[in-house]
Amino acid sequence: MRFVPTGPLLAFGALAVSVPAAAQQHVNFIACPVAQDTGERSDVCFFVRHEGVRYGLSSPPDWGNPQLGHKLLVEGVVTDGPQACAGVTIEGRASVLPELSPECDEIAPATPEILALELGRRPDITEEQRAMILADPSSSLQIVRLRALPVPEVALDRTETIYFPFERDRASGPDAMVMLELARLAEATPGVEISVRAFRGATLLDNGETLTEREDMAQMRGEKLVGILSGLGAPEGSIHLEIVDAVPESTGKADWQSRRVEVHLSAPR
Amino acid sequence: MSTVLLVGASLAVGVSAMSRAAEDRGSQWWGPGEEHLIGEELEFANADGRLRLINTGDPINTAGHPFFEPLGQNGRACVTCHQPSDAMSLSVTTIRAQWDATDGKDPLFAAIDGSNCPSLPQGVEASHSLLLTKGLFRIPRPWPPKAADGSDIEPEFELEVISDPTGCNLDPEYGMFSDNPAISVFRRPRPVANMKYLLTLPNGVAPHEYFMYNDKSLLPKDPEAGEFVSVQLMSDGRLPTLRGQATDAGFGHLEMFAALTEDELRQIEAFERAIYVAQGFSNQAGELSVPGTPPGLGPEAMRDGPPGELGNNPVNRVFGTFAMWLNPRGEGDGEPTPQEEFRASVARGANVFFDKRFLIQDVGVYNDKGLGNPFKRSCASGCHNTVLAGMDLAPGFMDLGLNNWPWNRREDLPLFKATCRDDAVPQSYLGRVIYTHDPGRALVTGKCSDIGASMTQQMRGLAARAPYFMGGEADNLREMVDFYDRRFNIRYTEQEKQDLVNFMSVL
Repeated sequence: MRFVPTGPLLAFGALAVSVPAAAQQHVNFIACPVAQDTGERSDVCFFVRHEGVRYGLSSPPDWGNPQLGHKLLVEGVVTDGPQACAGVTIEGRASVLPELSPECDEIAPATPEILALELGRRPDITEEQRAMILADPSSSLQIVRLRALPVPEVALDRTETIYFPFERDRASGPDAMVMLELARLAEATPGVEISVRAFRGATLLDNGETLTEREDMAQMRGEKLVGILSGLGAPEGSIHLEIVDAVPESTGKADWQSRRVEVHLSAPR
Repeated sequence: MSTVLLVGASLAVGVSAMSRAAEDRGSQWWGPGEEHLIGEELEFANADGRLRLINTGDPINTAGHPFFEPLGQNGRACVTCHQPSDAMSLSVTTIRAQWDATDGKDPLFAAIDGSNCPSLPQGVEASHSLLLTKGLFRIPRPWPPKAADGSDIEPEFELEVISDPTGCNLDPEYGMFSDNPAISVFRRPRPVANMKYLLTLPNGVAPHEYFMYNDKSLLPKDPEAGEFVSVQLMSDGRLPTLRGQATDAGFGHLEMFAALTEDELRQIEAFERAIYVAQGFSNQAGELSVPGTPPGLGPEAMRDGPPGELGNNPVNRVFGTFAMWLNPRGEGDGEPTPQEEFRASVARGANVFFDKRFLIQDVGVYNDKGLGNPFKRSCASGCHNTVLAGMDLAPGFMDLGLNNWPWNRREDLPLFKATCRDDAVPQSYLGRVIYTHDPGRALVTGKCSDIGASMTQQMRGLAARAPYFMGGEADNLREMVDFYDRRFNIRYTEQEKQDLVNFMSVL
């Protein structure tokens, strides 16, 4: 997730914010996400308003985009990087909270200022491609695959860490790729031992409140990941699962890292 | 050289022959145990033209073939509910005609699931109303749900019957408080054709050849082969293989005396994998798979196309280009013919399907699987993205709103109140108290978050198999378009709606 001070946007009336956020400032808060319409042929983006600042939201691939109907837990550090969704950028994570919040229902219209930013555009067909299809209609059925996710490198005696949104056990697509590679490595390693340590998290909000995950969250994450590794071919009996369900100390700084599972593969010496 | 046999009509070609065929559609019924020959191709008339079926396997004599023979006590065969004329599904037009032809005595109307409840008086229309009006068969699901090994799954929610118009959910013998507690839901039969598109794992969208998109759990495995398999086959994904489905349907729908033999399973699976269906001729657009027509039309495209591929990149369209039909005449070339006008409408409908974006919002098990709520996509780039087949490649269970309140309210279907446990992950947009006509996937998983979710389905042969959607909500293609327009506030123009209808009628 990324969010930035909105200095250049102050000229855009509707997008103006009164208080610029300071770079490197830690922010931990809960707010309703707002869906920003960006025009007829482009996707929506999301932002949140918090203490007079508009923060634009972007997440790691397949982490889980914000959802109207639900509040959002935002945890991160303000950066001076490029804007996201016409708002301040934060490095960190945003988590959709599971319970319904019907009051979170705002879709911001695509104003001329937003349209000028050309957010969420996808490449359209080129004239060259159009001519190619006209000349050979069957080429319109040629397969054009998405760019493949990179195959992650995993190794023995190294700990891989998978982070999760608040009170979720759904890993992202890139994390699933890590699991695939770990399972392949495990299958190829005679006598492999797999240690899985699953944690539940807690986060200290800016208002002083501590938000703690449900008691069985570590167990849910751990058991799901063990099931996945086994289903992908990790040898039977090779996995040792440790559930760490003690509530961690939360500091308001990178608390999202407390919601994790650590996987460590080792070979017998 | 292939031989095309037009079933139930004169073999003479031309519009007049087609008209006769359309009038004679009722005679296209294939009864269990009848002898028919399935060579390379067959054609069947429907109101919009002709459906074509291609057989890529050996010629088949249906007499003695286990797909076509009655195998159980009620006299049904697989073909009873998967008619070649109806794109291997079953239209309500055919059902009605068969009722009239047999005075309700056909095995199709068997008490077990061809009536609203087996305990009702059989042979009277009112007892078969869901089948006769919406093409719905009763699907009893064990409650609580059972895992593949037969063990009980503890559901995350309680079900209460709020309304039971069929009487079956509170029936002392068949209901949820009976000796074998069951929830009766009512669903359409899915087409048993174009199977490679439903059975092939997604290509090029790693890691989803191993993982479900929504919750990143693993896909199921074929219990016999041990390989990962897709879950596109059934609306609730409960059985992922053809052999499993055939066995389940044999006991459930055919009331089989004994399990299918290995040879019978092999024959059924081979047949189902060999056949492709799509509309082959449109009364208004003409032949659909000849040079100069859109490359994605006709069953030949289905036979030759690549399964398991994601479409709707700007170049790579889900059903290929229709551009050659869009503007057939230049300026000053005179008035277009009715055929050219219809073809242009189809091409415009294709563009609406491929390109017109709208906000997709509050779709349970879909907006919440990482995509965001709302997100903006077209029909093709949202849920109907599998090249040539048009279902969600992901694969995608979702609650479009057809099974749950508030988007759909049916007086003819049972209504359940699902109350989820406090510690369950709630349904993303309906919470923990959900009114549903069909809990869908949740009757398999027991999960609160799955209530009302079902699997998207293929879009070929639509003209032959109304009504549409799992619960038969849309009696025709226009009602289908109207549902989406209302559900997502798309605000299609009248012209766009008609164009979409025309587009889908040629698939």
